[in-house]
Amino acid sequence: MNPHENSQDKTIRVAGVADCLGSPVAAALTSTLFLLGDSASCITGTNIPVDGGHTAK
Amino acid sequence: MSRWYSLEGKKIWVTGGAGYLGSAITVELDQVGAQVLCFDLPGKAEALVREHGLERTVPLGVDINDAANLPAVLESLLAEHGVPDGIVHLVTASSSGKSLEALTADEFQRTFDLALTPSFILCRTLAERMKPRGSGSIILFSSMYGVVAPDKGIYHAPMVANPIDYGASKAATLQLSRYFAMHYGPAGVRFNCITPGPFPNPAVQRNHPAFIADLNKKTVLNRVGQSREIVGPTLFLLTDSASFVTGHSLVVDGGWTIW
Repeated sequence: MNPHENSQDKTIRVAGVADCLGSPVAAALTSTLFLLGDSASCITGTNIPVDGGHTAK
Repeated sequence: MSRWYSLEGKKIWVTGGAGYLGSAITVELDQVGAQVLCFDLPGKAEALVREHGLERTVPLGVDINDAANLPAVLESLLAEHGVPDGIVHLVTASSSGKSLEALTADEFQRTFDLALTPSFILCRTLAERMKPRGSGSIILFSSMYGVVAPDKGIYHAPMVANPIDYGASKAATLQLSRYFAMHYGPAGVRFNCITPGPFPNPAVQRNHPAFIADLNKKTVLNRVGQSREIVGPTLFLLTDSASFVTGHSLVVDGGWTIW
């Protein structure tokens, strides 16, 4: 299973690749791919903190 | 990238795994190679496994809401099947179905007893067993009505607005998830909530078109969710794709709660 399926062959433009936000930090990257794909088709207007629980406490 | 999203060979337990949303999740988990224990009321999980020819799913007729027997049931399952890698706990839904005026204190209390106490037992028991291993992902299910109140304008008699006991128990489920995330985070066990929006089952979609039209208008995507749309977010949180995501409520509501 690939929860990022249907991201294949899509043209994705990534802005800010020169700074840390656009760099392929694995955790952030995979969350980004999830939101780009059809797996997130019922998700809009939300945020996913990739912060190890920093904002949960 | 494959290792970030693989669930092949992972032991995943799904409570309520043969329900409307649960069955979509169970079927996909089986198809991607997970070893699934599917909990549901007697007969339901077996029927799902038969209907879809699931090869890696063990059906279990277990009443998760029986808090008194749950610890013994869990210990027995752990002894037989080992410590799971992930839990999808859908059996938090409980509702009196009553209007605010008609709801008794006992009925209000009953919803909390069914929705929360078994969840507390299940989460603590399994997280304690995951802790020595240093990894695990546990997903609870809340609701948009654990975040916002229902709009009475879309519920027409004889329908009643979504009950207060349901919304209050779903709000409590969100807090269970955050507290457990805080407590077990240092041990590497992640807790998250999925917070679904309107996912009416096919019978409601078919038989209540006016209600569905009202639900559609409440989302910014102007439609209700379909069961397959809960699958991706669930699998995302189970996999290492979400290895740094914990204590989060992943809202899957078509934008219901943003306006």
